[in-house]
Amino acid sequence: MTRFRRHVTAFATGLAGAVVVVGAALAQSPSPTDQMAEANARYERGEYSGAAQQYEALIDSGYEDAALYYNLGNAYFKNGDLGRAVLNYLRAEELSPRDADIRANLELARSRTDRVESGGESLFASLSNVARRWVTVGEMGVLSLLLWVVSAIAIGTLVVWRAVPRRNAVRNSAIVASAATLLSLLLLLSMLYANPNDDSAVIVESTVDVVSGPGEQYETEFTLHSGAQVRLVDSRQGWVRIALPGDDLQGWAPSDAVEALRRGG
Amino acid sequence: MSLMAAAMSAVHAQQRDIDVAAEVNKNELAVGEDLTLRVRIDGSLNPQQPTIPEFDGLRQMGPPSIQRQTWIRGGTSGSTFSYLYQFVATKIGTVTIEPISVTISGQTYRTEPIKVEVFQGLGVSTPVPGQSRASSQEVPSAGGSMFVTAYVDDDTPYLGQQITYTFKFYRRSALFPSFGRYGQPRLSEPGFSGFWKIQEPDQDEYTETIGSNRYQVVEITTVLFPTVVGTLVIEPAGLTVPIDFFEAPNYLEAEPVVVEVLPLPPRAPAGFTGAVGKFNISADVDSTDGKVNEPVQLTVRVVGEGNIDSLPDPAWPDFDDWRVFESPSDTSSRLIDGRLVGTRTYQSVLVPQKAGVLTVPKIGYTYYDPGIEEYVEAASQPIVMSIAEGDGMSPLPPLPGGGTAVERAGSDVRHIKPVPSSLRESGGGLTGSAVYWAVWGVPLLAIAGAVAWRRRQTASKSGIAAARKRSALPAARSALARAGESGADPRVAVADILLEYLSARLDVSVTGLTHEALDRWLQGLGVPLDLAVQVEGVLGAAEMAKYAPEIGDSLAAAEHFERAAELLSDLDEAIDA
Repeated sequence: MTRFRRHVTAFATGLAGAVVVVGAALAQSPSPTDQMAEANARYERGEYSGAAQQYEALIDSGYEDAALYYNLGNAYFKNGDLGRAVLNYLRAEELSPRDADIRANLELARSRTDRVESGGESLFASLSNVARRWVTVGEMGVLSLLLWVVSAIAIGTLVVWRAVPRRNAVRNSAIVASAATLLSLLLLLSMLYANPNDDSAVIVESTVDVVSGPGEQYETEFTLHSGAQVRLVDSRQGWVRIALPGDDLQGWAPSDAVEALRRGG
Repeated sequence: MSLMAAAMSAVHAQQRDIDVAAEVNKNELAVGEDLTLRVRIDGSLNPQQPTIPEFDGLRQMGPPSIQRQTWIRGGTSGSTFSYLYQFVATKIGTVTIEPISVTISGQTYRTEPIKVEVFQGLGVSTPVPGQSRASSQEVPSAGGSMFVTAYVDDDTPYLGQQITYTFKFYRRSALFPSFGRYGQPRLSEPGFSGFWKIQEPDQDEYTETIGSNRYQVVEITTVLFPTVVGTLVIEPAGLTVPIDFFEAPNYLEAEPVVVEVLPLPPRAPAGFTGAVGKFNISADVDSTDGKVNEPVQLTVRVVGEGNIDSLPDPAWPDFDDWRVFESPSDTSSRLIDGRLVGTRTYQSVLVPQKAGVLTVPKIGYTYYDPGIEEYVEAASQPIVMSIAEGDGMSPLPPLPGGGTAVERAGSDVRHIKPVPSSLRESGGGLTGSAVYWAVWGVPLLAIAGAVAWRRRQTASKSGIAAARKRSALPAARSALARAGESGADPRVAVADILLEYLSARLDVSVTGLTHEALDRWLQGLGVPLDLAVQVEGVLGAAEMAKYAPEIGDSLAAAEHFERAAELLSDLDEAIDA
């Protein structure tokens, strides 16, 4: 019994110690916002490379925010890494499509790289692009769900309450809300399943010779520069097949010269 | 043999009965004089037009005129066609009119060559007044009835130096007394590639005597400034001259003019920015007395002769002690005696920044004067101004021209954003969660529930009605059987049972219906008229029993019930049918 008590006491002491150590560690480790503030301070001091590393560390630890990507894009831009600047401005724009600062910096960065004309997209991809200029996927999801609820209330009222006052107005509301629901659902599905950003990538090396096959022995088809936005088509052992919008120009580039817009993609 | 020699010496070709010959109205003429060539075709009713080769030294003046003459010789008739060509001699020397071909019925006939001597005209040496240097193209000649000429006053100008291109149209006034009747001549101006051209050409009309001929002259001058160095060719100017309704208009074309543009001499002064001509520069202020921060208007004028519209700006000096607000310049120019002169005016607002004696520095203007072939450095006089202490900060005057647009000087990214209140963890987002899509099902389920409830309600109502329908007749018969025991007036009892039956059978309330309305309704259901009349009779008898009981009943109670049972059976069958 005494031995049992001693074991219990030892376990409780150990557990309490562990709690204290973990709690102290948690209390001492800076919060994500503190880390971002520190990165911002480094940026302000002109330590662009260090700021970029700190922003990247935050993103790698699972946090994301339009301001975070935007600031990271700025740090890369200031550091002369136009490709990663464009890449992170694009990521920021996806999270906050109406932000004028993001648009301005993205346009500025794009103006300094290869001019790639858009085009050759499917109807759904075009719809997705139009919608993404103004709303995020989450906003469109909320909007379409709200419209659906309104439609359901109007339809339900008409079914249950046959003698509802101003029945014509309720019926018209149901029609309009249902049509809006269908349209928003179409846009939402386009944004989810025909999103051009899903296979988008950006050239992150200063100059990349795009060759006709996955190897250096192949002929150069065309040359791209840091910041050019391309579409990922295929990948094979250190090489990725990329295409420009419209697919008129396609070729292979070393995979480390291209970074996908989707992290981990 | 001598006859054959005579035929050969004649300027003609003959075969069978066809004779083709060429002749000229004169074999000697002056430069600029006209010459008529006649090609005569004798013996063919439908000859083709002769083919006229080009003659070096003669310029054809429009298409030929055609004359036809019908003749009778020795009892036979025929036609002679004459094609008359007008030429103007353009070159001194012997001109050979080569054989002229005419094809008739597949056979080609050729005339003999003709030689014409062209000599120098009498009136060509008269120089045109006001010309400094005549070019080689400036040689109008006496004798032609209508011709054009073009030249420049200087065919070796410096880059940017003004030259004048002159196009002249000569016409002998006695030959064209009513010239404008068939339309005015139309000028096709050359392109003047390599020159800056002053927009509107200047036009003058006068008479001129060349040799023994008096001409009306239309002179069109165009002011040009060469913009490139090297050999420039001004393409030929052309003039379309209408003659009359029946003849095609004449097209007269001047010779092209070659201009050799010389580069400006090397070792230009430092302030030279490309002005060529002759200029003066002056500066003036609206007041030589002022106060600190009170604006003063500075007017700088560049006046002179040259391409005033494209003059470079003066080299502005540093205006220490002044704030300067510049405005766009204003230019005015006009032609005086064929030379382009004008003024370029710059107006600026100067704001003195300190008190004391301040100087508006001299403003230099360096140009190349092709007249003396030297660079000239002109400058305005410096202006000394007395500036007193100001009363305080005066508001600045509005900028002349309404101010200037703000332009972006650099191209840097916009600054970083502040830290948000919280950073969210990355994940699939709202639409990536199953709960979100499950929520989409809730309104759908609600609608489905509402529809189901509505259907159930409807089904329930229709089930009760059907049961009432089925039990209507037995219930009525049962009521009839019980009616005799109640002791009530059989007419009233029968009417109540009938109404109850109809209400149950038709699933409507018939209480309160008038007899007429009930009658129309029954007929609308297809109930025969006699049955509807019997229903009305039953209801009427009941009302009689209620409201006039003193009137006796002719039937016994059992008979009422028996008739009512028959009526109910007939009604039930009729409604089912």
